[in-house]
Amino acid sequence: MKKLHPEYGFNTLAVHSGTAPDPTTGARSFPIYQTTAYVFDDADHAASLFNLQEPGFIYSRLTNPTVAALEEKLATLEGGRGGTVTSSGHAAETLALFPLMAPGMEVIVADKLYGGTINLMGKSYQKFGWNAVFVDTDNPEAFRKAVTEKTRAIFIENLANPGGVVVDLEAIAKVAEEAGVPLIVDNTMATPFLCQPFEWGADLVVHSTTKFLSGQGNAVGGVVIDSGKFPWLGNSKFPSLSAPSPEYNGLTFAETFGDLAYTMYSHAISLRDLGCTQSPMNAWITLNGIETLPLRMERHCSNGLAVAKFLEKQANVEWVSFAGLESSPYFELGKKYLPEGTGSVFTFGVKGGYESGLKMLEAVKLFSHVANIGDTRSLILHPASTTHRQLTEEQRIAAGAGQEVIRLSIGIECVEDIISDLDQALNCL
Amino acid sequence: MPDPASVDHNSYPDSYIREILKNVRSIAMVGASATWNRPSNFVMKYLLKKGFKVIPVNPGAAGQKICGETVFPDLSSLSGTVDMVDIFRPAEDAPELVEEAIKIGAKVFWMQLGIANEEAATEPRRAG
Ligand SMILES: Cc1ncc(COP(=O)(O)O)c(C=O)c1O
Repeated sequence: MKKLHPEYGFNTLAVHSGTAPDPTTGARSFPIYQTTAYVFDDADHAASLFNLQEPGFIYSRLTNPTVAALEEKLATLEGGRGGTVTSSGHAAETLALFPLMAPGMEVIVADKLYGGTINLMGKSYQKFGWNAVFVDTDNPEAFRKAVTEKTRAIFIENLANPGGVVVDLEAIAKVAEEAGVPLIVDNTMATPFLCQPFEWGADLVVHSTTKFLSGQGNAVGGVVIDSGKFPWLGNSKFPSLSAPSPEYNGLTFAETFGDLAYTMYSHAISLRDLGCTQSPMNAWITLNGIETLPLRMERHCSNGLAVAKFLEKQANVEWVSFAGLESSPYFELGKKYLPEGTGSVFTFGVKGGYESGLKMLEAVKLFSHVANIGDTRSLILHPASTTHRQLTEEQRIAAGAGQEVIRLSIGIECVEDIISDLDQALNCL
Repeated sequence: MPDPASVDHNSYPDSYIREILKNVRSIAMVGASATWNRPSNFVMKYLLKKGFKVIPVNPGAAGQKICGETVFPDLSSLSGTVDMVDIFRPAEDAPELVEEAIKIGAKVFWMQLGIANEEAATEPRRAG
């Protein structure tokens, strides 16, 4: 793992970065600034803030102190230059593309993604005139072939939901670089504890912080993190950043803010206008969650691997899709990109297809049947009838969410308790 | 402080910048603009706020005021020396400005982001 800080390691940064003691009160845990607006010193101070000539807080749709602390923590842990926290993971995906896209432009998208993202990009973005071009996740050449004059970004998911698919980050980053467009990686399932996509050449990272980062299934949120490395200056493909902005009185973001241009644009224009801001309360919950991310991820990964190994040996289990198993086609890529572990969200197929799958959902006791992942609790779901329901059968199969597929998100309970619950449920089939 | 000839001029480490700024109090800003959305205006406002003395230099606006400071037509008409010259001018103008900066005794020559001129970058290194 790349060194993020000259002095401190990842676990120390997870606890401390962005959240120094409050200078006014000495409060040690970071306060919730449940506040909307911030007093200007005078008219000139107000003007400087609105002109972005001075850092500071104006109004919480754009920036809030608690949300800013979360932005700093997440940007630090990913090794990025700046972050923009959003109301949800979906909002983060849209915000990530907003400075890059325009009507008629294209984003190349991996076909193995969270079902909601396939819908968002494939269907809803058409209303903006943004065209998503889906390609085979497992084939970097397919990405290269899909590049056109209109391509403005490539979007992939690391350890893709639901099947825990490991994508060849380095190969796809190379395609993006040659195409002269940024590579955006949804790193929700891996978290920066397991993999930092910037190390492999990604330009932007998005997360649904709803999952492992906040960690306990109690705060929806998202973030966009910029590596600060993409050359926007003078780049005519990206006029939002490289040309005078009509939406900000002719300010040229790349010229004025350098490697902070993308993050400044995301606050001053994207959040200002789209308004998908995170509440201070959710940011505070997520800040607390991240402090224990390393501990939880270690347990999620070891429990996940033990459960996958158990399932693989069961007579009424057809297959298990988990990159940590040697039988997985993603085992080698997993060793390269996720050496500490391949997460705890994965799928398996039960004998007897759809009917057996539903029976299994009803037979579990410790597992909760919910549409979420990355909780301390172990979760179970049948994607074809829920998260991936709005897709065509062909899209479902491509995404690894066919009729017989069950998705697990393994929690941090005692591993023997998790296994015995699955064991008794399988015996009910 | 590392030898200026050996550092990567596209990406300075924080420690190098800190070392430079420690000895800088006064800055002549060539190409300073009164228009708020130009980068020079941002930088000037920021530096003034941080307590630096900033002297705007711009022949087109000589005698006027930018951020409350009187504008000079060129570096040679400044009374006295400055610690640093910061330029917001096309890269072609850099070599000539470097010479003027050395003449008035400036120790640091700062070219703003996106302005690069290798020849101009080598000259002040030679002058020390
Ligand atoms: C990989 C991935 N990305 C994005 C999202 C969307 O995030 P949110 O539900 O926070 O909007 C999810 C949600 O399940 C996800 O699993």
